Amino acid sequence: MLRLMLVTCAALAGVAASAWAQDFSDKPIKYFTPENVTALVTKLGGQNVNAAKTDNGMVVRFDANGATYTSLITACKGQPGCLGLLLGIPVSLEGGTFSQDAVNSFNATIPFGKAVRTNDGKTVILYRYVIADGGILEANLGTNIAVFSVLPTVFAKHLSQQVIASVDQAQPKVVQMSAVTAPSAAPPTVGLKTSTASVHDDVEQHLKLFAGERPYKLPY
Amino acid sequence: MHKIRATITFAAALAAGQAVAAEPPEPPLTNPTALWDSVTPESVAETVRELGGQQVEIRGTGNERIVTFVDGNIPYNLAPAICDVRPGKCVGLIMVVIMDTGTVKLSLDALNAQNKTNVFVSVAKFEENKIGIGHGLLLDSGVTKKNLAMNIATFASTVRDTIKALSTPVVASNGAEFRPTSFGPRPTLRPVFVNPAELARYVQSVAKPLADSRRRAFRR
Repeated sequence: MLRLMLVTCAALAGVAASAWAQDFSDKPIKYFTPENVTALVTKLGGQNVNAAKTDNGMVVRFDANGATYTSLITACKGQPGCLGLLLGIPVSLEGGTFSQDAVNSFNATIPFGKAVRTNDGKTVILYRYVIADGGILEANLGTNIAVFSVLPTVFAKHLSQQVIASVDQAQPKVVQMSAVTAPSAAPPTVGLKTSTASVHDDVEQHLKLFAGERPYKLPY
Repeated sequence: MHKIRATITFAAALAAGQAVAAEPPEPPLTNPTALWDSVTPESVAETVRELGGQQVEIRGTGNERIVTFVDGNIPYNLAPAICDVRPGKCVGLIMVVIMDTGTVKLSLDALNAQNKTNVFVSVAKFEENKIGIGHGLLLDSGVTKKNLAMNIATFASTVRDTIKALSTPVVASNGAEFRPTSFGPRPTLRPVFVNPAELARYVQSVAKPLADSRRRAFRR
């Protein structure tokens, strides 16, 4: 657990890249597998690391920072391997609920994580998605996992700055951005061309997996 | 134009887990296997140009510069972030599109529902009639140039789908799950051209708390 915290701070506290990278392979990860995710999480210092097959696919669970984290290997269809790693953890409040406003303001201010609220408001699932397309170094994946592992702490701090209410109040935190609105005429499709197909799986089924995991109770 | 179409279609097919019948076209990048552990506005702009992005510009001055490109009248903003961890190196890249919802306000319920269905981007309300669609990429410790390109390409294609989905707002729930239901007028989402310096400052401010939180965790 301590190593994961050290890794997190080293990754973003100016430790020389060479010292950090020494512990990791210099061969890019092109596909996520239970083996390479398990090995990396173990290297980072995660505890009780275990891989399991679920209805949603292969998951690797590990404990760190007093919480249990789940990583789902996804985007596997039609490829030689799996290109997506969905890291998630549910968080809850003792006897309380989360407001949509608090969740929205978190999503508006924390760029490297994402929060969704369950229907009853009792749980928020924090998650981060990493893609391996083209290859990422093991150390980079380690950074992503480390950043994800502190999201509950970041979310707790964010909540302490918000008014938590069990009644939704649609009063978003105002961030003034001076801007010019483009005309509403139908845009010509030039430049980037996109497929008309949905670009991602419907992940609501995956969020149900995370919602069923042991929640991390925020310190309130 | 043709190059980015192939890239986006390829990215979309991968992300949707669709079978790719023939050998998928490689993104038209120079040195796709080059390892990058940081970005500059110049390197990001180069990548977007190689992908076939249109009207690629570096906007702003000094440390407040972002890369913008336009596709289908939608201005995309790519802002280097986390630039104070290692001198002269920005180890993060925040991608964001800002949309004006006009007179029809999207509810936080609708945005939460949208966030449940898409792993790759977060949608959040910034002001009463402005939303942001964003994705944060960490390059710290190394990703391939191709991975950076695929992240940008996937972001661009996901934004289009997100805009389409949000134009049919979720305003009701049957309790068990959210179903898209349209009551009353649909929002017409119009893209917003943002002030690059404001966006750069905003990006730098939101990336900072994450590092601060980790340093506190380390001292415990």
